[in-house]
This record gives sequence, C-alpha cells and structure tokens, in this order.
Amino acid sequence: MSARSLGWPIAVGIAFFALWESIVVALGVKPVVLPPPTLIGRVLWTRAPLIVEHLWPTFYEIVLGFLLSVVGGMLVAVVITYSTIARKGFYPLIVVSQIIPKVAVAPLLVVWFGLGGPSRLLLAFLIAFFPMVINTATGLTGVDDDLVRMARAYMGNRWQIFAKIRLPAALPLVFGGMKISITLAVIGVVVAEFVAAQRGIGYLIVMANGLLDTPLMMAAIVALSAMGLALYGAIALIERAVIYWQPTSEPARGGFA
Amino acid sequence: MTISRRTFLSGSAAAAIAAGGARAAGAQGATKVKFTLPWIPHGGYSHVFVAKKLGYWEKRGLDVSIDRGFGSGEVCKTLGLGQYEFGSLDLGVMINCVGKGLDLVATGGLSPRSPVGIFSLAKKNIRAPKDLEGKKVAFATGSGDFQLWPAFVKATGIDDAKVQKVFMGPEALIKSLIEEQVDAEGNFYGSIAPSVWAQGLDLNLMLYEDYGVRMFSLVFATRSKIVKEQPDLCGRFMDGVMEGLAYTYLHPNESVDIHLAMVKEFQGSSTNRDVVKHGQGVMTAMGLVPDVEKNGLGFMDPEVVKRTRETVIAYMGAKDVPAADQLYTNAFAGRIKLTPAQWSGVREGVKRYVPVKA
Amino acid sequence: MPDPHAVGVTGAGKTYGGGVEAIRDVTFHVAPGEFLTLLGPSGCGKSTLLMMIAGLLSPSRGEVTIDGARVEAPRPDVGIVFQSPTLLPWRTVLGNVLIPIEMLRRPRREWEGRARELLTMAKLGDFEDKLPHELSGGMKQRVAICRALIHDPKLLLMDEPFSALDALTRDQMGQELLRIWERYRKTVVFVTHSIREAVFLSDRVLVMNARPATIALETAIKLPRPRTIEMQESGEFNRHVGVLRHAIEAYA
Repeated sequence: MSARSLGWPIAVGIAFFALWESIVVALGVKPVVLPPPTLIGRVLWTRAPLIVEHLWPTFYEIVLGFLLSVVGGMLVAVVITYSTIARKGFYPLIVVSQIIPKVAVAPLLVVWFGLGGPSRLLLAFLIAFFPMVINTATGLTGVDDDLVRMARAYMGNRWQIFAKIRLPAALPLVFGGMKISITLAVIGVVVAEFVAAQRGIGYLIVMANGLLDTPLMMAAIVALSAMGLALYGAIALIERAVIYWQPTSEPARGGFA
Repeated sequence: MTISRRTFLSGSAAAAIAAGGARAAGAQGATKVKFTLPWIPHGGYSHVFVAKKLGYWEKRGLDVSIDRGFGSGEVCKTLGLGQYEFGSLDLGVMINCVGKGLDLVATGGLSPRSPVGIFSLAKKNIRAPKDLEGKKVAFATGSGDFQLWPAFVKATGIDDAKVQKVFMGPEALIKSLIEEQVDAEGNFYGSIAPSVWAQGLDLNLMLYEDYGVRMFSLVFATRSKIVKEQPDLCGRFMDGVMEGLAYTYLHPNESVDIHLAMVKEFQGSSTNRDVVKHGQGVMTAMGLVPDVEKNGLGFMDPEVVKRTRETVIAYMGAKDVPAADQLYTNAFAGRIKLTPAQWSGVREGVKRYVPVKA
Repeated sequence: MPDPHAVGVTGAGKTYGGGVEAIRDVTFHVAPGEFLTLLGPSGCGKSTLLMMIAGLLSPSRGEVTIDGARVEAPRPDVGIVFQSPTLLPWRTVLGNVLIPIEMLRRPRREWEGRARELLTMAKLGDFEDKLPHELSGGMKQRVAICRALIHDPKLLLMDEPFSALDALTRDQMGQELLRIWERYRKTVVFVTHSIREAVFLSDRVLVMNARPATIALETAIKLPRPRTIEMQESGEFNRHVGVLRHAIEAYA
C-alpha cells in the first residue's frame, strides 16, 4: 500500500471524527449516551494498561479458535471432496449447524463444558469453521480440469494430484475463507465472552456497560476493532506473500483509471 | 453420619458446626473455594471483596476466587452442577430451579428485602401503580420482575391491558429509561438506582413487596451435598462472608475503596465511584430488617421463605418444589451480630437509600 | 518378433455413455521416428483417439498398443502437449518443465541440466525463473513442449497445440517444432484441423471425418526435409493441400 493510497482513509477518518466531535458538543449529548472522540481517546490513553490486559486473553483465544477452524475446516473439506459418502452424509449436517444461531447455543455449551476457555473456543470454532469448509472444498473441486488431466497424463497419482495441483490451485479461495473466518472468530470469541468469561475485551465491554461507563465501553470497542483489523491485515499480508502468481482478492486499485 | 436433610437443616447440629467453624485454619494449607456472584460485581457486592482483601477467609483456611455471574438462572445451573462451591443468587429463582431438579440450599441471607419493582424518572410523576396505565413500561426478557408482574397486577388491581409493554435485553434497560425512550421499567433497585443517581437524576419507585408481593431476595447458596458432607467448610465460608458484610455495614467508605481496588474495571472516574457507593448503600439498606438485627447477619425469616416459595409456585410455574424447610438453613446464620448502637449508626448512614413507598 | 510399429491402433472404437458413438473401427500404425498427423474438422474424434493412445481414455472396442504392448494407463515413455499450455501458474518455467520428473519420482537435481538444455534449445534460456503469467501464448506452448520432452519419451502426442495462437506465431511454432523433432527424432502423432499445417509438418496424414470418426484417406507427404517456409508456395505443396481438402469436403 503506497503512502498516497493510505492518505485517503486517514483523511476520511479525520473528517469523520471532527464531525462527530462537533455534533456531540453542539447538541450537548451526554457522555453516557455518546462520548466525543476526544474523550474516548483520553480513556484509551489513560486506561491503556487495563484495556491491554483484557485484550490479550481475547487475542489468544481468537488466534487459537481461528487456527482450529482453519485446520478443522480444511480437513473436513478434503474429506468431503474425496469421499462421496462423507459428502452426502455430513454436508447437510454441517449446513444445519450453521443455521442455528451460535448465541442461542452458547448457554448450552456453558452447561456442558463449563464457563472456561473450552466453551469459548468451541463457539469461535463453530462460527468460523464453515467458511473454511466451503471455500476449501470449492477450491479443491474447482481446479481447472485441464491441469488435472495434464497431471494424470504425466502419471501423477491421486496424492500427487492433490498436493501439487488441487491444493495450490485452491489457495486463493482458502485465503478468502481465512479472511472471513478470522472476522467470525473475533465475533465468536467476543460474543462468548459476553455470556461466559471472567476476563477479556468482551468482558470489559459488559463491565463498562454495567456501570454505564460509556467512554470506557467505546474505548474497549475501538481497541477490539483495531485488533480485528490487525488480524485481518496480517492474513492479507500472508496471502500476498503466498499467492505470488496472481492478484489477490483485495479490491483492485485504480478504479476507472 | 446419616441425618435426614430435614433434621439436619433444622439446625439441630448447629452447636457442632458452630464449634467447628470458629477453628482457625488446619495444617493442610488453604482450601480452594470457587464462588460466583449473581451478576457483574457492582457496588452491592462489596462484602465479598472486603472478605477477600481483609483476609476473613484466608484466616479460616480458605482461598476463595470470585467470579462474575450471568444471572441467577445461570448461577443455579453452574452452582448446581458443581462448577462453583458457593454462589449468591435470588432465592425465588433458586427455589424455581430446585423444583426443576437442581440440588441447591440457601445457607444465609444477604438481602431480605426484595429489590424488584417498577422504576421511573421522578419527573414522570408516576407515584402509584394506577399511574402506569397508559404508559410504556420496559422489561428485560426473562427477568424476575417480569415473571412477578402478574402478582403485582393482581395485588394492585391495575388494568394490565392498559399498560404498554416493551422488551429488551437487560443491558439496554437503564439507558433507555435515562434517555426517556420508555416511561418506566421493571428492574432491580440495586442495579438501576445507583446508575441513575450517578447521572444526577432522581427516581420514583414501586417495590413489589410494598404492594404485598413479598419475596426474599439475595441469598448465599450451595449444594445440599456440601452442607451435609462438609458443614465445616460451609461454616468457614459463611463466617468469612458475614464478617465482610459487617465491615461493609460499619465502614462503608473503606469498603468502596477496597471494592474499587479489587475491581479495576470500575476505576477511572468519580461517577464510577458514586455508582459503586450507591450500590453498596442500597444493598445495606435492603438488609435492614428487624429479625436480622435481632438474630444476627444472614438470618432468614422462615415466614418470608415460606411466602417466597408460595409466590414462586403461583407465578413462576414451579412444580415439585420441596417443603420450605428443605430449601434453606439458618445453621450458619446469626453468628456475627451488631450491637443496637451499631445498627443505629448503619441505619442513619443509609437513610437516603432506604426505599420509601411514594 | 518385436513389433516394428511404435503405435498400433486396431479396430478401435469409442462409444460414450449416452450411446453416442464417437469413433468407429479405426485402424492405423505409426512407424518409429515418423511424424504422423490426424487431420479433420474440429470435434470429429481425433482428440479422443489421441487420448486413447495417451492412456487417458480406454477404447470401447479394439486395441491400442505402444511398442506392441497394450495401452492401459499413461506411460513414462510418452509425452503429451495439449491445446492449452496447462502450465501450473504458481511454478516457474523451470519448475513446470520438471513436472513429469516429479510425477515419476525421479530426483529433480539430476534432470535440471536437461531441462535447461531443452529451454535453451527452445530459445527460452533466459526465462527459466519467470512465472507463466509473464509469458506470451507462444512462449507458454514452447514450455509445454519442453515439458513433454524432459523425460525423454519415445512418443510425442500433440493435440492441436498451436490452434490457440495467432497465424504468425503458429508458423513460427511449426518451424520450431520441426527443428526440435529433427534434433531428437521422436515418433510424433499430431492432431490438427489446419490442412496447410498438416502438409508442412508431416510425413503422413490421415484424414478423418466426423462422428462417428473413421479414416477417410491416408496420404504420404512427399516433400523433402528439412521443410522451409518457402516450400509453402510450391506447386507440390499445394497439390497435397488440394488432395486433402478434397478428401475432407467429400466425406464431410
């Protein structure tokens, strides 16, 4: 990303915050309802140690839940790609599991697995693993048939075709799935923290809200958003390094230029 | 020893327990105990933080961890399933859960007066139940105050159809009252009042119990298994928490300081401090009843427990609820007492928090 | 007695699941080192025939042999070039050329030298580290041809390899191919729908007609080698073209 292309989001951001600040001041909006950006910034600064202390366990669980969903999702995708029985048997179940709102299931998970990490990881996994399954399976099966035929013509066996042809060809879709999954993992862990945690950024948000400390609540939300953006950005960076042979799924630059 | 649950809880073993409970820590080292609050650790729960900070459990050989809770209903489950040794929760909800098969017993009272009621901003001038007709009233889905609303309607004779009800998640309730999106709402005195007062606003309130819906509110509870098999542990835990409660009654400002020191998330502004202070004051005020002054901290009036049980059966659809004397025990209560002079001072200190029927 | 034919097709037929008969009773042989072309309009089954020789499809009737042995599956002594280059976009040119070596599980190191030699000969020596998206269509097909030769196959099968290229590139590629073939003298079975291309490249041409595919005509191309572009002007060349065109139109 060039310095110039970074300039635009920054400019828009500054304009947005300036507008927000002036509206809040002009209309005399109470901080408990909508604090001005300057107040949120001050809270972010003065209470940074507390926010970071709660951000860390959330971050750890998001990354862990995400990794589990990537590994699990890809494994399931491979199984349903190569086994017709598995596909016919499990695929409908997987789809149904996605339709059930995880937030509704969360209290049950707590009863079965307790109020600790396992419940939250399970929730994050359940939310984040479906895009990995779909995208990986689509990527594996959607590979150009000509490439597969070429590999067969040169005596590639099933494993070689999977590892050297299908898997690399599927990578763009796999990374697309990962970008969706990381976002969902963030949501999953934070939502789980609302109903089943003793620490974490979601816990801090609930605590701040419980005392009507809206500035702290919004500061926590800002910190959470920054973390989510950083995680997404990390994946996009890795994607660009791994998928060096074609443009990635990031929006194109230039527009109508 | 095999004693039936009934005889055991009637306190006939009280003497043995009292002797055991006062003993200092054994040679083994601290016993780990997990305790859950009913909700987030707001000002009403200063006593547990005091007990922990000032070593009232430590000196009795207990290492107590304090977790936030997710509502009395959830506490029933986690406590009943053994994920915690002790918990604090609403007695009515606990009785309902015992009816559903969870193994719970109340070991001491915290708030004999029920904080459940209908609250509104003073400026709305809603002073009597009849004033609610034609108004918009908010409730949290699944809340205790909404479950008891039919009892309140019956007791006050208002026309339910004329009250416009809206539902929202519990987090949104207080804000929507302050922002006047609703005229009144069902809530818990200890939750709503401190936050509203800290914003510089005044409240009108109608507590259900002032209109005949009498319920015991917050209690400490555990599984009956633990009461039966580890009465010594119960005694030590309850003594520690009651000593903390006494300190909170007698030293409210220091208690607020301790609370803020231990719950870092609530530091940061004088408004936050006020919310904690008011919350603590409200809980103290709700504990000031004659039979506690007479019998000591934690005492639960058998009549009130019986009335609570009846209300739960009538309005919460509970079935198969055991007899009242199987649901609680005063065996651990009343071992910490304040002098009449001390009670006087406490009452004076929380005068502004005692809810007055409008 | 060893089979003198590099490729033998005897009474081959292919019927697909829906009852569509693609090929009916095709018989021909290819001599070792011969350049044979299957010529016909698009979709007349000549590609299917090539796939059967490659071992990627099996005949419904009849027999396909290489060096006398029945073809059951793809073989390491066969190289194949498809209509589209089918290079792996994530591999360099060198990596793509070495694919047959990898599939055959031979040590890559030992064959890198040969790969570079082939690329140099195909005038791609400076491009070994480039990725396919950096190459033109003609260059990609040249890489595909190198790939088809890396494992030193005796038989080269080519399925309309130049039809996706423009006319100028096509002529150039034809000359390149002949140059490579002269150097390594493989047996080649070439499929095309271009009459001029067939005449220019081949020793012998089999004209095939549409479904079900059968051989309509067999003719030997009596032009001297090495073939040059100028030959395409000669009367002899155009006489061959006329014969083939007549055959195609007659049996269409």
